[in-house]
Amino acid sequence: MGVRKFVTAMLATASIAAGGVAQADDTVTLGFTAALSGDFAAFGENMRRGAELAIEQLNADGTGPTFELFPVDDRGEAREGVLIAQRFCSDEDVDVVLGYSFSSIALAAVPVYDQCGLPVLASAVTSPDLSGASPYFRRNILTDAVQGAMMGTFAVETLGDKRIYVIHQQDDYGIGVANAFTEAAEAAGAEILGTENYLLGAKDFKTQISRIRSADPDALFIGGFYSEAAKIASQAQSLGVDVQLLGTDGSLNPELVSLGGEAVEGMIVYGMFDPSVATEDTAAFIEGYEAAHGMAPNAFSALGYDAVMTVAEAVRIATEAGDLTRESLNTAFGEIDGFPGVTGPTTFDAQGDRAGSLYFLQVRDGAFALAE
Amino acid sequence: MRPLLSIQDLTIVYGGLVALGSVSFDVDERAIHGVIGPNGAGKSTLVNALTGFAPISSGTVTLADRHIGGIPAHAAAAAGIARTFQNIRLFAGMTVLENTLVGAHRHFRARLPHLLLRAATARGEEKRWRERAMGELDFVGLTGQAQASAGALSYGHQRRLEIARALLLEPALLLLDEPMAGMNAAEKEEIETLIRKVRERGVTVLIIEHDMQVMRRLCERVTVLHHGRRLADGATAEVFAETAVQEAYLGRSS
Amino acid sequence: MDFFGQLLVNAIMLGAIYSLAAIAYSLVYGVVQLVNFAFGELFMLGAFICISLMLPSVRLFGLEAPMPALPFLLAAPVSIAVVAAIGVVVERLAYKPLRNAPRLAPLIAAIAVSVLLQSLAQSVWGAEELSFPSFALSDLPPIILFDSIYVSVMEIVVLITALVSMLGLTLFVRRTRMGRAMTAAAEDREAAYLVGIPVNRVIALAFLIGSGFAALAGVLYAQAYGFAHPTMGFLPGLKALTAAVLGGIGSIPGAALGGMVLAVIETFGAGYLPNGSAYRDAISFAILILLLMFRPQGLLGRPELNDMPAGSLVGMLGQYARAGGVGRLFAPIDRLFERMGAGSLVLNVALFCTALALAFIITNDFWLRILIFVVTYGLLASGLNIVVGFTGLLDLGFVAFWAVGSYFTSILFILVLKNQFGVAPTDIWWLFYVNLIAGGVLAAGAGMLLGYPTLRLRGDYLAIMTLGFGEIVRIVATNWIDLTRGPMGIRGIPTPSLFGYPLNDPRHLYLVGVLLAAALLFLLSRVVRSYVGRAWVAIRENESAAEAMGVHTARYKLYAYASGGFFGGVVGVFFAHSQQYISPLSFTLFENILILMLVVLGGLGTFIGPFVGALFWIVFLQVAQGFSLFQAMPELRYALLGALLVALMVFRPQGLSARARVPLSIEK
Repeated sequence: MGVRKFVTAMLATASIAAGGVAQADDTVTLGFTAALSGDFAAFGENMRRGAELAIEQLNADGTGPTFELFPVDDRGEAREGVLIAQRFCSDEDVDVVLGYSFSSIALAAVPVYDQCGLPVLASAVTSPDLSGASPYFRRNILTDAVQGAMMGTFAVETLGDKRIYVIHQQDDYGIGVANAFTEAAEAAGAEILGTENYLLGAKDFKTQISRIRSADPDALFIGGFYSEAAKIASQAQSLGVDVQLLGTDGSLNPELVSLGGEAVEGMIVYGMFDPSVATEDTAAFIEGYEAAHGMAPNAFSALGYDAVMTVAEAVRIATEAGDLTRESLNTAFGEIDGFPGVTGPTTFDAQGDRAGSLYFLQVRDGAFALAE
Repeated sequence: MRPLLSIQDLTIVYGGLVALGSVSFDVDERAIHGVIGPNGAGKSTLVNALTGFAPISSGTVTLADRHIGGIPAHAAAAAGIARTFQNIRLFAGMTVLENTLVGAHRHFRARLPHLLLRAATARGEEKRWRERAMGELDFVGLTGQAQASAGALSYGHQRRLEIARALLLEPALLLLDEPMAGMNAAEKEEIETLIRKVRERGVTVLIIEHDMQVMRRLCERVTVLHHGRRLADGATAEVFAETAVQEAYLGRSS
Repeated sequence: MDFFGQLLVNAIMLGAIYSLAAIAYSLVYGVVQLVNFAFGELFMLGAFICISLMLPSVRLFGLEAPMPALPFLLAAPVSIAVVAAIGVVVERLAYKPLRNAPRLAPLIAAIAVSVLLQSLAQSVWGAEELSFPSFALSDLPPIILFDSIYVSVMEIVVLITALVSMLGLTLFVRRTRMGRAMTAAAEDREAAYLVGIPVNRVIALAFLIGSGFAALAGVLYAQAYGFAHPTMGFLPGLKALTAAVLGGIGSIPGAALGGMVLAVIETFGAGYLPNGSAYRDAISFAILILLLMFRPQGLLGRPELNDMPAGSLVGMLGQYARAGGVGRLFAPIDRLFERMGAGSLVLNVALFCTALALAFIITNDFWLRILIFVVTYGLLASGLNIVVGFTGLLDLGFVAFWAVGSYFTSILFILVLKNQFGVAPTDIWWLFYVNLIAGGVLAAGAGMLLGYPTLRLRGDYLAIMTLGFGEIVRIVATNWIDLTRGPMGIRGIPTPSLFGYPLNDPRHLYLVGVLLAAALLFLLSRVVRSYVGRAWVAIRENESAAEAMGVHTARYKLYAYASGGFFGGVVGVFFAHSQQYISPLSFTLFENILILMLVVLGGLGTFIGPFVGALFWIVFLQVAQGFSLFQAMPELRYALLGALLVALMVFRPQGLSARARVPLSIEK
């Protein structure tokens, strides 16, 4: 690695930050940031694949402007979150930002976006704290509170689980979904036998599982991500706990099955997308995704796809009204009304949140299928 | 002459092993008092006990009628006892002058606000002790080396620096633990002269040294330790004449 | 009964693994008096290599590579042998050159090796988990005792393996010539050398066996929990170290006992205390701290015997700087820094003006944001530098003070004044300036409080205890949700403002940071260039000589903790208001290690060093993203830092700006 190469790289970095190479005016650059490496990379990778597919389709269509994705890995570090937000803000080519896998990183970044007036459309952060955090921040995923509550009702009324134990990861996400789940399940008439928690990245759940086993529940709700959920499932199996496992969209990932194996068979999770049945709206997406990436899409790829399509719609609205700027794009997001997508129609409320419906999916023969 | 330091029945036991057993002797004011004895006799243990580095099992130690037995090392220094170490212990990463100034630590009175505002009190005492430190460096013969790194000094100069540092404490009693170890005759003579000059300033000196010729010349009184016991104590010439001493210690080397 | 019984089984199983890893720490500590922090990473490597060998193919550096698909019973011993060899290589390259150096040097090298191996593993195997393949033994149905206690066949295998290997080691140490030589070297290295024991070979052997034990523990752990991951060794490594200290470091039966006792306390604490599983790790660290306070020799051990001076890396200048090539390499840098360190007013003012001018020269907000981080981390490193650099106390819990400052101002502004009393943060803009001082003072108090129990400890034990404190503070911040909002963090913290004029863009924030840095360094220089600074450095250089010169070393150590804490607290307040959001994610042990590395990189015991380190590293982190190599493997940057630090320890322990030595007295 010679000095010259180093200097070149330094200049390259500086030029990215300083506004980059001049681009044709009709290119829309979508900043994309999420954890693309590390334990929780699967969410970010899924979103990115969905977004890439959407961009490919939009550019192939050729009627609108050219879209370009500019991905940056935040490695799940709060410090990076601020710097990346500033990098996008300072790069005049970036018109909108997508992605985000951690609410805490999005929360750290929001003040930066708020200041430079760059609109964000996030797809995997569900913290209620983000509701109304900034007029520039929106998301196309439902909040923890909404999703957890729907799962609580579903578990009791549809599955008939009456004695439920809750275990959740100790963070905004886990606490949020677990609380919402608990309230809804109790309201529907179930008994919550107890609540356990664990830190993100925990490996040993045997103590909690031993206690859960003593309570003898019908069902165990795991409010957390797939890597811990898989470990909880397999450790529960090895300690002879045989209950209905319930999860969240945090567990909705093919990784759950590859890590958990047969222990997660029968587990029910939820998401905003049903990959098992191709409807009129989703057939093109599913087909295209499988062709492009050689795997079935999940809710996060669907949300990433929809996010790009929503941006395209906002770009259309903004250019019709005048010049395309960050400000006009942000206004256009507010005007989107019932824009159809593979996860259902998109409309943003004043808080930047979206209403929508959930699908309940079950692991069957190592794949996610619609729960019956 | 009344004794400056008085040691009564000093006993130090380490894990069942008696390092010093009921040792008593006095050190007169302004004296150069020697402690001799073969290796393992308890000489260094004695110095360590007097300066708070070794716990005392029983017995009393008084310095100018004040009990100092068992006080921690920094308190011993505050009470007026300075020492050097058998294996030189300088602050290698500091300059010669800074090393010496650490010896003056107990004299500084400035409080945090004075330091932060660099008030006149803080500046004044810093300047005063700096000058004193330069004086001590002159005294021990390290003129012109004040800004050198202490770690870079020659062995002999390191020994002198240790003495200068100890002197800046303005001690009543200076304990020298083998200050001439590893030196040639000429160097030893220089240190000997230095020690006499120190005493002339009114500082009492307690010295441990293996070179009997030097000790015979230098000390007015000596105490002989053997296996942690006091074998003899008295005027130098008388002690050296005792047969027990010759057998136990001197005899071995001849 | 079934709960209790199951917990006991779980605890014994965990204890067996802790014991094996604890032996690694104990054995090596016994022989070279070094806490080899890298054992956690060797533990992890054992797991990765074993799994890789058992698979038909595995992704290495992002490329599919064919693998032999060995059976478990073959893969495990091979991986243990490989890791044992790696352990010996690490010893040869990183620790052997430092054998007679002040103990701070090998300790920092050990931490650097740990960062290096972890980042390297992440580059090789990727950052995702690798699942442990199942095999004949692991597929057997569990044995069910009393109808309710489940024990898997592999758990029995783990227990038997642990027992057999510990027994084997004990026999080896007692019965063989090399084993007895090892004991002798542990008793007194110099004497062992004199009586003709091949000390170098004995030390290499200790590393060989220790690394093997760490790898064995790693393989068993990975099998039991079904995965391998680059960061998996970190926590079990600390637990094993705790177990080793608990049992009495240096003692093999002690390590075995310590592992079991720790696992039992931890498991039952988590099982029976209210909200116990959330505080599980805090329980272990609390035990560690209490132990070090009241019985540092552990259950079966001897008190720590290492009385090597605390750690004057600055004093090593003479030893290595003249060692030819390396010395010449740094000569121009040295000349520059020598002038800077001499405390010339002109140069310092020029430096300050340059820092200010940067705010106007750089028009790009992104680079200004980076500079804000440089100033923030430079200041944090300066605070840590008071403790580590000037006073020579290796503090791994420094982030706690940063957290105290951040949480203090955030809780006051948002959770109390805004949420409870409805005071708009913008109405009380002046409180930010008050909080800078108040947060600093609060953290200084915390510094003295946490510093007090550490006063009797030196070197390695001090590092371990402070690490325990740092982790406990973080675990409490994460779990005491009513106070800190836990992992949700606190948002909406106002940016600094002046009479209602918000200082919220990166330029303003950077300027606030530079002014803060100038003020803090100005104050610090006044304290350091006085008898207080001399007392600190004297403690670092030779604690007993300092004590003999009348320095109340315990008191001055507390002053150093308080001053360092003050820095951490002030920076914490600034950090919270410049980020406008804080969460426990910012205050991890890794951040602490990073800050330590910045100090060492820049130069311990200098004023400019922490900033040199921060500038160098944080700018590099961003620039490196322009290289495709680092884009593909971002972790490689940290591996590079680890390697750089090890090289620095061996060739130039005083850091880049070593010659910017701080004069410890006013006036020339």
